[in-house]
Amino acid sequence: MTFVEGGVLNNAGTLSNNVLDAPDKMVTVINSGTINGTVTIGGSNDIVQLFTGSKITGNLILGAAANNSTLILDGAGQESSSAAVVGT
Amino acid sequence: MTNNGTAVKQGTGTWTIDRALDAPLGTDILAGTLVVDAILTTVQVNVTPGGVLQLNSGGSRGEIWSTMAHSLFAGSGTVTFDAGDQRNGQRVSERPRDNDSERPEQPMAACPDPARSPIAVAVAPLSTWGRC
Repeated sequence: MTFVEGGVLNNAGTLSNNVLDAPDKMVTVINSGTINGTVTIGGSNDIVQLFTGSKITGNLILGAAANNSTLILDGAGQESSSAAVVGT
Repeated sequence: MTNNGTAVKQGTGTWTIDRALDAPLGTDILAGTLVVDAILTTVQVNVTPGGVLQLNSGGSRGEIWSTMAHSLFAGSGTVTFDAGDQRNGQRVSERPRDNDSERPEQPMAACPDPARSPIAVAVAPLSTWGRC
């Protein structure tokens, strides 16, 4: 799926798609479920919020074209970055 | 995991950074525990009251310090040094207090190579400092 005009993706289930964005739009990706794919968002002020127990099976690339992104690690319990993002 | 901005730890849980992570604009620990067990490349770590920063050995390389310029700890935030990161005779010691000059230094954890990355650790309101 691709963000065209920015927005918020809140995934609490299983999403089997790559997540992409338009580089000039603000995007927020919230994941408490599983994303079977790669998340690549590169716009200004983009946010990725990962909850414990979540998983991205591919890569997570946040802020590839900007340097003001935010990665939020959230939730209760325990999680490791390698379990949350299986790719690189 | 590629991040070109800020990393924020919030929520009550524990997140372990067990792969190299970049947060070039800084790292904020607002709540819960952030365990650093790999190289965290960031200019500053801010630990707010109630937050915990736990520094482990960084795996086999033990280089989590190499790119962390300095850390600031506010209020009752906690920082934990893993004693397993003793190497090359380096250590972080408690600063002797003004009226406690006889107190021996107590090794806590390894220091970075000062030529590569000076690090200053201040813990407030406690009167202890880390130094090499």
